[in-house]
Amino acid sequence: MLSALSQILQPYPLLLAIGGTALGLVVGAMPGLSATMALAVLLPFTFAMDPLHGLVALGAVYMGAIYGGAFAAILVNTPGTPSSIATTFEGYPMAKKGEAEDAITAATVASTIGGLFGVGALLFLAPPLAQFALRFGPAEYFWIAILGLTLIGSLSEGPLLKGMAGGVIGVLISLIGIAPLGGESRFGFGLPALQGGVHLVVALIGMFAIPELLSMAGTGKAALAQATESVRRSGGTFGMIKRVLSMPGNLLRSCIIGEIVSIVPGAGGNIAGLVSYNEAKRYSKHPERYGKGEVEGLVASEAANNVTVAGSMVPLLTLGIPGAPPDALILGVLLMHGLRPGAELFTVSGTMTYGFILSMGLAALLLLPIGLLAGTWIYRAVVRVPAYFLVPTIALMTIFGSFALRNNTTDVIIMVVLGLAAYLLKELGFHPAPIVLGLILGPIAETGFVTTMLLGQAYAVPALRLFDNTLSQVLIALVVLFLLAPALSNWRRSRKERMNKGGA
Amino acid sequence: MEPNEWGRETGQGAGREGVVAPDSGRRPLNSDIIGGALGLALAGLFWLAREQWSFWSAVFPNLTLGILAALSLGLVIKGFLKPEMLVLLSEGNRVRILVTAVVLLLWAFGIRTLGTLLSSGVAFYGLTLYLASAGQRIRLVDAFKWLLVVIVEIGALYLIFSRVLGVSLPRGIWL
Repeated sequence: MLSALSQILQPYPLLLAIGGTALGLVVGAMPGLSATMALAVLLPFTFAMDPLHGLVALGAVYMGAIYGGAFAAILVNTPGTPSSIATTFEGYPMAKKGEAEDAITAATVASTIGGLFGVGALLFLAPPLAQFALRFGPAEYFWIAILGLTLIGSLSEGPLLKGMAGGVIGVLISLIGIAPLGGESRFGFGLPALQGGVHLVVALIGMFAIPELLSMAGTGKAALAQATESVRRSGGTFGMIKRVLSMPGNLLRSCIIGEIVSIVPGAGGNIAGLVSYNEAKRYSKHPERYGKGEVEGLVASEAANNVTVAGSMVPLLTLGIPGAPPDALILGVLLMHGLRPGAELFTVSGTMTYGFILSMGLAALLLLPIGLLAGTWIYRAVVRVPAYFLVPTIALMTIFGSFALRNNTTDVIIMVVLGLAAYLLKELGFHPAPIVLGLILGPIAETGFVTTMLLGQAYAVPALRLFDNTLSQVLIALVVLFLLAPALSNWRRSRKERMNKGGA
Repeated sequence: MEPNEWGRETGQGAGREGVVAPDSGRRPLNSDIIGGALGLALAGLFWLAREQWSFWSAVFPNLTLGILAALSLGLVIKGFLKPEMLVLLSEGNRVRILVTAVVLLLWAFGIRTLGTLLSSGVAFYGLTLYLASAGQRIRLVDAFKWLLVVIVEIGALYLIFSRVLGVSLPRGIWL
């Protein structure tokens, strides 16, 4: 490990890490451009590099891109990458109050801590965590998705019934396209273009960005311009850093959630961010402040999603299972250089493997100076742009970004149509967050459910297969707990109020 | 909730944006019944779009459609018992919202036929002029300056996507 450390602290790898983090940040900050695209663009350049240097650059870009998503989430209410969905919930309201620089500082510090936590867990806990990940079968995946859907209670801003209906609409949209097990094309409405389904990022861009654009066009002013001057509630950058560090419980909980979610292949930074946000709200002394610009929620989301960068390397480096598309690209680079995932990667090729892991830690540290500088610059640029330029500029970026995902003009049309629908639904009290949650969890729930039913054919009642192992039962208990917790807390609150009134 | 610059809030759902100008004539609507009806319509639309799928492809969609129909029905019932009244399109100018929505739709369809540069140029510049005209009188010199900015902005983004990222942006009758 020391030999690896000495190798990455040379000028060239350090430059690569700085450049990679900055590049990732820029790409991640643009809605529609994902970490996968940033890595794919960089990939050909790494072929000519020394393997360790190539991996250092890729790791830095990955870390920078996941963090960069927070910029768009905070400044234009559009998750730059799916990982920053939950960041919009508190980041954008903070920005609207003039606290954008505070929000960016908090996101940067939380992302750095999350990134370092993920690297630490990868260095010291990779083998046992990989064994734990192997225990997740289809039934467990189904219950994980159901557990995720229980978040709707806290994500929906209005009545629970509307939140639940929104979640189911999201699941329904996710069913468009090829069935995961049957292989048949579903809900195509006679349009061959719909066979590819609705890409999550296309839906995300449309449902978060378009309503905001319409709102800006309607009011005739940029949302952030409403805050006439920047407000630093926490005494500047250092004040906010101190404030973030003063919530160790929130940080630790979010990092642990991020780590657990990231080692399960298929569950990425978006789920980690949403679950952590939900838990931060649940444990908060001031849950009523959430949705109005509460820094705790922002910290939870950003810490958790940056843990997943190194966290998703656990199944990749130990078992060769890429949990997300960017991981698959990194696996390709490893294989190209003759590095096979498994125990040998940590022994025979230890210097390179540890060098790669440590370089991700280095990239996480680099987020602080690069992120804070870039954040201040981007924020000041965004607030100076008048609405009549900001609206078409954001529209242009969302149109180019949604096309670039699959080189498909249908995606652009789907993005705009979903955005307009989301605006209408928002007006009717249906928040986009539960719809997006349904869209993310729908395919996981369906694959888990149908595979379990297929495996359960030996049972008299195949559905019983969903309940017959310990991990599933633990997850079911958590589902019940999460469903009952809000009702229980409401009952407690009203009882306390009654007692207080009685006492008075 | 703080009243806005127009004065007062209306409707049970005013905790969101249920705020309306006193004399705007915008009445709060029963959002539960409208939302529930839309949910039922969506469930019906998807139900009719089902085909002869195998059991394993059909089981989850059928379950989802059933749940959506039940929840939508629940919303309609709630709409009669304890409605959430909301003022639709309460924020800002409805015409500007509608025009922007139409421009975005035309832009999305236009890149396929007109090409990326032409459709983006026309939509971007048109939207800029339209939105700017709401708050000020546009001078010819401003219009010319903005045209240059639009050309530079679209050109720069086009080059980044096509040359750096290797995305082959759609070409129509022109680039």
